[in-house]
Amino acid sequence: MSDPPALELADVTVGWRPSEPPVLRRVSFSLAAGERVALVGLNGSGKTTLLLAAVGVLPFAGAIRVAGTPLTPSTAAQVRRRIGFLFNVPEDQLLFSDALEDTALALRQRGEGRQAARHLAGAMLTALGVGEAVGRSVAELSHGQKQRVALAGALVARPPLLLLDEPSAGLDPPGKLELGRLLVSLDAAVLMATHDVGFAARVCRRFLLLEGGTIVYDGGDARQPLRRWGVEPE
Amino acid sequence: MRVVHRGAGRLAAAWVGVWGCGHGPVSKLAPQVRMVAGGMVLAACLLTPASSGGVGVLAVAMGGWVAACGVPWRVLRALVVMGGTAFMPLALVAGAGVVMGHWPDLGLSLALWGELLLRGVAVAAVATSTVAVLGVSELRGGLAALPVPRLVALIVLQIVHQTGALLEETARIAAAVAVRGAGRGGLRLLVSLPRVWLPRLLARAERVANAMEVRGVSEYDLARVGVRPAVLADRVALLAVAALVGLAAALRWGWTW
Repeated sequence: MSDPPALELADVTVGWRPSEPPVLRRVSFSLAAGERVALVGLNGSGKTTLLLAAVGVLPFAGAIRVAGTPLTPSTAAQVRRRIGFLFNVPEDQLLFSDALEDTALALRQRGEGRQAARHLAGAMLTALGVGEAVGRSVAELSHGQKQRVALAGALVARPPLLLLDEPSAGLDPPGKLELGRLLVSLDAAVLMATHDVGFAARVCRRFLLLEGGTIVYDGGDARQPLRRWGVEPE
Repeated sequence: MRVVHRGAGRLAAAWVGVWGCGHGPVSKLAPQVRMVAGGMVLAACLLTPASSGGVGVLAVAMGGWVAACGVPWRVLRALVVMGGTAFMPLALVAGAGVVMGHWPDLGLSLALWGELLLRGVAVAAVATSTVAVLGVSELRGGLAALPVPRLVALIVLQIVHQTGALLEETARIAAAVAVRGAGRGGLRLLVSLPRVWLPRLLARAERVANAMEVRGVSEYDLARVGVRPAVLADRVALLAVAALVGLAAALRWGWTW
């Protein structure tokens, strides 16, 4: 029997307020284990909303399943342990003043010992080119460094599903290159929300284009979104 | 280049910088002992009566705790400035009361103001010093070791984290006002500030709460943080502050041996 999809959305509708029209309308797609997919769309197209709904932060109508487990209030904690999540503002998700400790959180939650967790966290920070953050307060880091520390926290426990909101935002060109290489080397399924089509094309083979709350393109041509936006592909 | 923080930025930097900045002998004790001992010194400062003996004990308790915590000079200086700013209006009120004849006894007014000043500064100094010998992770460890309900511990940790995040957001808004507020639109910008500031703070608080939920911080087993058991030095320190509380109580209620 084949593995269940890493993430599956069926007729998902999401709104921020009941009095307003929904941001996402009857969105359906699935992500196979190990598949890397870019969720592209213009500002305000609903990319972040979709990712937040997929981890149960926003209420939704329809069905979301992670590795076959339906996402419900009672399963949310269990489902989230299978997900590495990157928020689009790194400051929001860095919950500890010490960068190493913040990165080690996911490992400690999975029962790793303190020393081993710190060692692995340090190695992940180094792999993301931010080894100098070890032993430093998060408040002292630049925006790009915070972005890398936040990424390290999402990746360190090697979760089978990564939901990344604008992972390349704030990274310098070498940082983007390193991140791209790292994501390609992982076995995890990746859904990354981005409007950086160039970066997405280096990492993903499938592109979902969100427009007006629905998916208007699902395919392997990275130039399609650019054409729809009236931007000439390079 | 040295980073210069201004206004709210200075406040946010101070909040981040004060945690774990003290490296005195108290910082070597187990985190839970530091927290309990800090609470006991605070109690002693509040219990001491306004007599000369009481004031002496209060001064020794405050000065001794600040010194034992090894609070850096920059933090002490900030405390003095904040204490002065907070208590100067009280001195003015006391002075005005005397001038207007509401409080005919100048000596009593000054004594009352002096007690308020001393006790207020003592509470601020002891609380700040206790925070200064606790890193945020040690706070977590200390709470895990104490018989505090898990929910209360999580709420305390959330408050500590959210305070830093909200001060940071305030600093950003203040920076935007400083940059964009110059010129003709400045007044209009200032008037609209409350309508911008509050929703932004609430949005930031909501995003941080979402992150805590997604990253499973509320599920995080506090007992896993590696609680350090109390050793002989911890017990001696606790006995010493317990004796201090006893002395303050004896002075307050006139107990004799």
